[in-house]
Amino acid sequence: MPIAAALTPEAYTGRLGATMQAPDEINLPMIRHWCQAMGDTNSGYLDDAFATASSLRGIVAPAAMTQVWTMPPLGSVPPEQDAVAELYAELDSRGYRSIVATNSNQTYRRPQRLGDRLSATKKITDISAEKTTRLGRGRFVTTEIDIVDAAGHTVATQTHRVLKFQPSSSSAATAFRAPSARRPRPNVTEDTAFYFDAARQARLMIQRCAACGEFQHPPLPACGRCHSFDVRAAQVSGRGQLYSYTVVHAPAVEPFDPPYVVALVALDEGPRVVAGLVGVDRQYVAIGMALQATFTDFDAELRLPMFRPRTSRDDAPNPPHATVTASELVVGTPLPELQIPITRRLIVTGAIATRDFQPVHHDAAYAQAQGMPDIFTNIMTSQGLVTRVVTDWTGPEAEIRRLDLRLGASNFPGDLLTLRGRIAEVDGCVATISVVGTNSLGTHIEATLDVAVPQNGGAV
Amino acid sequence: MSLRRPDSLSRTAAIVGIGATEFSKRSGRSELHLAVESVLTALTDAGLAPEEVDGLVTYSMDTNPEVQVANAIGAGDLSFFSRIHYGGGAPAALVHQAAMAVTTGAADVVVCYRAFNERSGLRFGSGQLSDVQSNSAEATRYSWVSPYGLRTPASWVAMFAQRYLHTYGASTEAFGHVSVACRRHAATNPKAHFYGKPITLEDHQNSRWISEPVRLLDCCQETDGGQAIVVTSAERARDLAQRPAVIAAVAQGIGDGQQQMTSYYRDDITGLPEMKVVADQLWRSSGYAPDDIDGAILYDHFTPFVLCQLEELGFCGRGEAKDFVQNGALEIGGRLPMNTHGGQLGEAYLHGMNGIAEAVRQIRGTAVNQIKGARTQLVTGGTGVPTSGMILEAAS
Repeated sequence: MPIAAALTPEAYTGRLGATMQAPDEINLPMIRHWCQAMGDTNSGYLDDAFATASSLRGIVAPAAMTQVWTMPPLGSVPPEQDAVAELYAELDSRGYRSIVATNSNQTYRRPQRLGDRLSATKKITDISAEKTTRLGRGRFVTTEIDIVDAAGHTVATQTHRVLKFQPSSSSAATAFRAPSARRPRPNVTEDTAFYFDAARQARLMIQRCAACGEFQHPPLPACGRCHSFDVRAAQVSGRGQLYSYTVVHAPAVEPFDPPYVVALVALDEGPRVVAGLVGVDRQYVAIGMALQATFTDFDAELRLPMFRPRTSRDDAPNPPHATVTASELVVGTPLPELQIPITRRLIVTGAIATRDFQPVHHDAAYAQAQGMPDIFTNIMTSQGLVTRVVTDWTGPEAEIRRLDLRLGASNFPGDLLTLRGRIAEVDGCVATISVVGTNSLGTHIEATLDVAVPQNGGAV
Repeated sequence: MSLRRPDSLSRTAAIVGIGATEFSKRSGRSELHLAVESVLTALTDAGLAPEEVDGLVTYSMDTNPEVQVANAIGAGDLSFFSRIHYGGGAPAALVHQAAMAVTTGAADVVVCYRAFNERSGLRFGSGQLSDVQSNSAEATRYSWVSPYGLRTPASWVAMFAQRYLHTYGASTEAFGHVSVACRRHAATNPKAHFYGKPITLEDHQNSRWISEPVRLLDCCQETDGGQAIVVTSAERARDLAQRPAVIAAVAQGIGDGQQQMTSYYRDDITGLPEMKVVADQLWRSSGYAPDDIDGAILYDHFTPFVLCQLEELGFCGRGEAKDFVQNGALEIGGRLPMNTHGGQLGEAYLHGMNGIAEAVRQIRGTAVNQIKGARTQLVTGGTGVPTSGMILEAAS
């Protein structure tokens, strides 16, 4: 072997890293931990009885966890004869000491299942000349990763690109300041707090008189019909129809971003509520459209009931177990947006759940020494969140077959990540979905996913 | 007045003085200064001395306390003072308070006033008025709308307007006719902000969205200014400086299921039941019917609610206002000349008080856009909120 320090970075092209053997089989506890970190409740990942009885034929690991299983253990020393580690050390010695992931293209050959034991081999395919970036001057390193099972069959392939860079003190990232404008807080009293407390638990509750059964909204301390004070919060279905709406254009007052739709929804149970709409372009908003309650986090404290267009899943006996069918894949359809308040908890639990122990994702002082203003979410958390945009909408019997993404502005604590997906192409039961995630610094992520759904509620 | 029987107020009191500051976008003086100035001007108009004032009435939203106004005008002792809540719903209700006071003997001369720097100070349309942080029942009303970005009066009204259009198959041109009428009248009123600036229906349709289906030209202005109204008994009114505008009927109204601008939870949201409450009282107490009305001042913060008012007041049937307003019906020479001063769309936004002054001028025969032979005027308060209305007539 040549001595690494004697080589120019370009000389590493085509060389292999050491094969990383996953320390554990694909297992439910790690999947559960990952789901909790990502806020993902997909039954196909978590519910053995459901998954076994479904077309999934047993629990499937999230596609976005593909890279997780073969991440190096905490505290491990880099293996000898690992060209990737040698290249990084070489770049470190040349001043490119910091690292961020910038691109990932993953193609999944088959679903990953409990008991699979994966291993991954990296090959260095490209080292760029020095580039000037937002973060500072650096060099992009591209690797191709082959992820195989115990039998040696390829499960997934990945092209991965990182930037090794010299932190610049004047970089855009160091200027980060968390947005201060927040949505107005609800003013609550003892009579009305239940509505917003229930929303925090993702439940839509409406006041109902225990004496006469009348729903009453907005809530009051007594029933306006029978005068009873025995008024209680009752959970409702969240099903409803658009009764009226407005598209607000002006004034533009932060954090609102006109034009936006505010809806008046007539619930199936009778009462009406005001809420925002997600998952529908405003030109298609129409009085009478069928809606379903959903919940959006606008910051770490405020979660509000919102409404989205109903899908076939909502009419299923158990919507969390239902999946949209191919007939619902229509080019141009927006998926309900996902708003993710960026908290330290998300950054750290996301990093740990993806077995990414890089200090920039949990140690603020370290991150600052690397030229970043604070800790930030890792690429695998972004992968998890963009797949959630898709699978929250499709339901559990959907199979992610491809995930390509490009990262831009990082997610720092206090920011809000808004992920918007749209069906870009449809080929039979496979949809190509583009997802764009923005935060206060700009575009955080641009992703493209291929997802297959059942033809007619049957198997994928 | 009562919901069930006629009151004993009809034709017992009269408006005998009106006074206002200039209407501007930046008054350059305090709100209290505007209040005092308008009160004194109204008293001069009435031919009454400030010392004769023994009652003051204003809005709960007004920042000018009765005590400071009384001190500034030198009123001396007062035996009656009262405030009305719910913002723009109040104007005729102030007169209602005054009429009850002078009729019962609680006071002899009552001045109603409203003054603010609503344009150069705290703007109601800014979208930040609803960011009140208070855990009172009063503040909870914002909870249901503000977190979603429904934070301005225009956006609150838009939700009703969309349903109205849907229910009655109307187009936004119906709103435009209201705007065109008001601006036509403002164009010939030197005191109006939009003096010399009439608009066409096309201008209306081309104006930008504020909150769909409400456009910029569906919205009233924002204004700095003050307006005062002097009320005394009909009997005493005969001996004062001006031709009295007799209060034939005056009433307040809260409708079943009413909220403050967001009564979205009623069976039907295409009407204004609180205005029906007012209308029923006005017709019963005055003895008039819609055909007896020579002109109307209909509260025009947002044009869609003018259509609802025409229906609730009985000028046309439910859902028929879109047809009623066509062909200049609301303009001088039309079926129901409305807001002959230009309204709040064209003259100024004084929380409805400038509309009362215009009705008085029509009765006196001194309006710049005078309706020939006008003997009766109907005036309404703000809509969406608890409201008020009155009918003025010339003394017989």
